[in-house]
Amino acid sequence: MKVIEPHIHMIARTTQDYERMARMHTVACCEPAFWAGYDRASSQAFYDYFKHISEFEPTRAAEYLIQHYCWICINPKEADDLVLSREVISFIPEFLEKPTVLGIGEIGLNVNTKNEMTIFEEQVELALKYDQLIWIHTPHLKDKLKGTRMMLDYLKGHGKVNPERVCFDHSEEHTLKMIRDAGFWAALTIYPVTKNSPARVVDALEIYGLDHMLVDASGDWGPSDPGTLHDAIFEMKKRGHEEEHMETVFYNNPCYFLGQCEKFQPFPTMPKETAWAI
Amino acid sequence: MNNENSAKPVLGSPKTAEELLEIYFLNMRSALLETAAAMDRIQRSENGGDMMDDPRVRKLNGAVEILKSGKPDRVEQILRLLSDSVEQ
Repeated sequence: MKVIEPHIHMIARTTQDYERMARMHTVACCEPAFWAGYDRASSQAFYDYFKHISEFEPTRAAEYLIQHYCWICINPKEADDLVLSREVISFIPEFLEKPTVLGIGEIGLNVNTKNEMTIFEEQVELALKYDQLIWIHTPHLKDKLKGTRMMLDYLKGHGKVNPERVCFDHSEEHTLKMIRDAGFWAALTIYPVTKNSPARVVDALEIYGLDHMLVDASGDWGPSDPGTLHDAIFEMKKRGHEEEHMETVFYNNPCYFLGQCEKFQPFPTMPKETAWAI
Repeated sequence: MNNENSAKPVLGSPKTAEELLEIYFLNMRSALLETAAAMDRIQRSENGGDMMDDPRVRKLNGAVEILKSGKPDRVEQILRLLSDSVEQ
């Protein structure tokens, strides 16, 4: 069974992770633009970062026969600086033309400030102007519930946002239902401590079903592991689920969502109406 | 879109409740013991007694009450308990 990793920051990972992912049948991965662990000194640093993830990282992945895609944006944490953010936003359109850039992301909120929300809204407008998919970061821990609600309310009230083209990432039990009820895609992130476990991800799939659901390991410079995606697959096997359902979640669903961008090359093994019929 | 709540799972589990308990009991036991051990560790350190009144510890104690309640959707309730209010 082929696997697609919808969210991983390979700039922060070793080559051995590409090797491990290849051995675990990962055929494509997607890298949203994110916070480097420190605030960048200038907008030029973002320009260089965007070049790295849109030009160099695909060549690194190709060594392991993995297709590498990316998303471009000013991340939620550094978005609190309005001047810097707007400088970065000014050159994002140049990158949207690159052959492996899938859309605007991961935009969103960090600690739910007014400035973060302003830049979130401006990047939503940018995505709409350039007809781009949107990948949303929901806040960590105690800020997640409020931040998810703020962004959902905004997008639902916007009037021009098609929820089918937007994915809310890092959803958990207290935010999943509101995201799905509004018609958006939801991604569940597996982290060793601070997000979902493989078992909780499979619980969510059992409760809500397979449609509009993605699972990612969101590997970065913190405690995280691309292998947890495959732990979740094993968790489904352990519980006796059909392999076809595993393929829906870990390969076909990423194809259905990401394939809305014509640059995304992997193709699903069956129509979504068939895959989602349980 | 399938949006039913956890009272009526859409996909459901192929395993019986007894089989699931067999699979997960040791993990559940371990998670509880780790939490209890960390509470003990904090309490027996200097000023540990005071720390038992820390808001974070109080919330964890609240989570235990949710665990004991016997009601479904425990994870969602605990996550809401540990979240900032959406009204703030």
